[in-house]
Amino acid sequence: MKLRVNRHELAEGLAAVSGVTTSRTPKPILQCVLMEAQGDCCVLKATDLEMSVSFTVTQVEVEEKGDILVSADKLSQIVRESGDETLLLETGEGLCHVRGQDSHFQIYQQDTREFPPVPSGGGPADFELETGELRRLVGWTAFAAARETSRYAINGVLWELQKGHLSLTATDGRRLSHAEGKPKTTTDRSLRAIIPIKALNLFMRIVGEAEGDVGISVTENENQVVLRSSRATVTSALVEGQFPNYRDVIPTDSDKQADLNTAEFLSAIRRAALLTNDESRSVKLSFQGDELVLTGRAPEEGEAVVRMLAAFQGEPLDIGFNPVFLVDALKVVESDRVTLELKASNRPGILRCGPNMLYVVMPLNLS
Amino acid sequence: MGRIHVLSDELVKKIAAGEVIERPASVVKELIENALDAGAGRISVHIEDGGRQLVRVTDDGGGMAEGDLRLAVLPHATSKISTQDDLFAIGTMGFRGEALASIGAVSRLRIRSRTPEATAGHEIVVVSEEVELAQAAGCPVGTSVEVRDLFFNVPARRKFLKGASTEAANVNEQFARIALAHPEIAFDLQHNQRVTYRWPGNESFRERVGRFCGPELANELIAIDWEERGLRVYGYVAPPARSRSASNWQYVFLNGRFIRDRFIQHAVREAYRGLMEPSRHPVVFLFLGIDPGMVDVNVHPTKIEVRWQDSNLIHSQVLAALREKFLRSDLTPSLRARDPEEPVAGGAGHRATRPDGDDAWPAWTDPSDRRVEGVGRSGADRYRSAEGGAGGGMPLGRSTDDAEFRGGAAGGQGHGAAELWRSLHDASDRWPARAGDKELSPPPPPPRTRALQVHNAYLVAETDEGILIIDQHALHERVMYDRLRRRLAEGVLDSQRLLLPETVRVTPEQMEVMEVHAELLTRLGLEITPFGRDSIAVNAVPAVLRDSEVTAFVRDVLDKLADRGNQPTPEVFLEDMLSMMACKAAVKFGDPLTPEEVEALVAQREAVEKSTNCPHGRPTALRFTLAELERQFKRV
Repeated sequence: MKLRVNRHELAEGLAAVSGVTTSRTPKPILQCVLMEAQGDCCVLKATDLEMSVSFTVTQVEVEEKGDILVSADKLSQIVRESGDETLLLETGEGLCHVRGQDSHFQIYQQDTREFPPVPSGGGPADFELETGELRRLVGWTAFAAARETSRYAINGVLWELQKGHLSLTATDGRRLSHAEGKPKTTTDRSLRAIIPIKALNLFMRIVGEAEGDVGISVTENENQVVLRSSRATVTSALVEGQFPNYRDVIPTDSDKQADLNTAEFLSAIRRAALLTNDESRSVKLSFQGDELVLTGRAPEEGEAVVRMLAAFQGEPLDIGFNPVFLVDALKVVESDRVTLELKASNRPGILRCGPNMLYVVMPLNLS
Repeated sequence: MGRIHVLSDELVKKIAAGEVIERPASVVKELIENALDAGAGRISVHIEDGGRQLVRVTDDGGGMAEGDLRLAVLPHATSKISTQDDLFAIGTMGFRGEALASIGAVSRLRIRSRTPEATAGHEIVVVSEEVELAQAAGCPVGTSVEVRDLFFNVPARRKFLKGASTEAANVNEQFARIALAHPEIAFDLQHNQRVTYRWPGNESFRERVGRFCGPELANELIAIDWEERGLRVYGYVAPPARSRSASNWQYVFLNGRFIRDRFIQHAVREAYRGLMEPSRHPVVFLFLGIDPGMVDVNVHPTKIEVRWQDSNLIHSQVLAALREKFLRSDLTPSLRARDPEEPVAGGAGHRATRPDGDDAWPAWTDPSDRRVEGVGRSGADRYRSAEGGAGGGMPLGRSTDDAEFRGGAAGGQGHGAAELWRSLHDASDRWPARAGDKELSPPPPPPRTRALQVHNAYLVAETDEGILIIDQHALHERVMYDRLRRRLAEGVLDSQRLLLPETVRVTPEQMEVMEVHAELLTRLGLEITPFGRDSIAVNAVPAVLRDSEVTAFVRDVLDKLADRGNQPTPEVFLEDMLSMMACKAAVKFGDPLTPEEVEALVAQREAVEKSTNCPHGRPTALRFTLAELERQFKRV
């Protein structure tokens, strides 16, 4: 194999795949990146066996097709430190040569035949989304997914596709976020898959804004999902297990509603939360008339009171929330206003941001 | 023929004597108390063969005239009370008029006595209650009582006497119990002509206690003095690090008399709770001064037990006296690194084969608290074992009193503002800073404690006196525990409701206790409802718990409640659960901390009660003083 490549392009590609190569693995081959030189491009591949990524590097002149398998970490460092516009990569006698204007690195190669097969994810996508829509849907849900495993399969985001309608749901048992969207193209299939947080985060990180549409396909018999943009493909095993029946926990009997300015609400919560601590992390929201009073209290430190305007309808109500839960959601709200629907101080609240995004959050008992 | 008959007079007396006189130590106790009541300024005790052959108590008190001497050996003859009212306002040690008569019933008793006015003394010899001899005798002013061949006429009892060394140890203990309470009086004790204790009179309590427990411990004693609601509690207690594995180092005196009282014992334990491991026992010398009318000491022949008019008052005052002091004292164990030249004691805690330099730094090489404690304990033990032969300890200067508040805590008050500022600082770190935050001008930061995390486990902090080595998990656990406890005292813990209730399988016993203790569970922030026959649904959990710990926590709680063998009181149960929650919520041993977190944690140490020990009683910090470092580096 022999190719000349734009250094910036290669650095970007290596950064994209290095999210999968783990430095702490008993199998050194999993620390490697596979470079496949084809026609007029070069594809970088890496895998940790559960999840694989491939990224296409353009601006490449391939003189001789072939593969290289080298340490992703070493190659990244060489490429990053170099000052050259282009680099020449070449294989010979078990070595990978990297040549710049004033430098020549020789790295030992691994045997490409030992590299685990990376699923190609070929074939037509089950549905396609605009990148912006993907960001909105994943941004609203991924933060609410559980970080730790539990008896439910909730350390991922549930994707459901039915009759051309897509919804994403995530929960950690204390709050639940749900977003609905519309795919750009779709098949008639009904889909239900829990995509691991790790794979979603990786894909969101390497998908460029300008890439247009992304395709998503789920191969149910292999229990695998393929997330594909024009340059990057992430394949991952799905989360196995049962996602809780989330529709049952979204309240339908809320009889109080507050219409709030997003930025003011976020700021008020953050300020009231300054006087909470690890053992008493509740902010009390007191709604009465047009005013919302937020109170934070850390027993031996002090108390914070923040007031803001709230268009509130219903009987006055005091309710406590973990401020972190509210801030997590408000941070990703893009609209100017949100509504908060409530029933009672021991019942969940629903934060809504437009008709397609809702967030159920359980209160803290006020002592 | 009837099988029931009235016991002979002689037998009755022997039985009665047995209640008061059990062993030589009881003779010693009764005789010393008589000597005290006679107004002695010096009391000498001499025993032979552990007191089995001879107990002789000599005093320089008021003595007895001839007639009194004859009466003194009759039962219920006493000079100490005469009317029924006196019985309820007892200011003397003895009063029942039993002692001499009882002793006379079971031994060969010889009394010599002379009053200051008399020109000559008198002597009386009683054997098995029979006066064998009464005559004038030459003797100094005062009384000398000699008890030979105890139980010679009651073989059943004599058989049960232990060996000489055990009986002598009992005598030592009885002697100490009285002598400790009377530092104004000179005491000495000899066994087989060898001096066990020789304590001069006109001492302070501190000096007397110091002689008893050795200078090493004496230097660390914490003075207690508290008076409220008619009760004075004073004396000396040892810091928690000086705890013992047995409870016999708890000397409690009521109006000058040694007592054992479960209310006081409990109060003492309560005061030390969380400061030391639960299996250890504190060392205390407590003197209680109370109006004699508020306590009945006539409950037990040996007067070791008393009955309080208001036992809650006693409990709360003792607890308050100790707690108040502990809050104001710095209880961090100071590390005394041993001098390389100092001979290494053969104690189990020391590995004599180690190179000196290594061994001299126990805390660095082996952070376990047992070892550090071992350094102190073996020192004290060494002293005590030497004490038996040496006869008294070194006199302790009054200057040691100054040392008792050594490094005394500056008090929590000054730190309030600093804490507040830090918590703002902390919280704003958690979320992206807003532009507005910058405008807040924080109060002037407190004197900065420089601290460094090592091995993701310990914090090394600079203090005014030297350096402090902190166990990050233990300290954070203590901080969390105290906050949770205060929170609980105000009501219930913050409780996060769950969107998806957790279901946990339970046994029928657990199901039952869950219903019985519903209120306790609510206070902890748990809301549990039955879910089918053998499961429960957890609807709300303490907000402080991490997600992954919920199920395990609920199981632990129910196990604890269902443990029939060991039913804790609600208070103990809540404390246990708080400890468990604090442990789970605290940073772990091995967690890397940011410099800000390190600083915040060290700062919190100052604000926390009892921060010298984690809730399990392990120490949170060890101290090296500058003086100690200088000594080690041979700068002094």
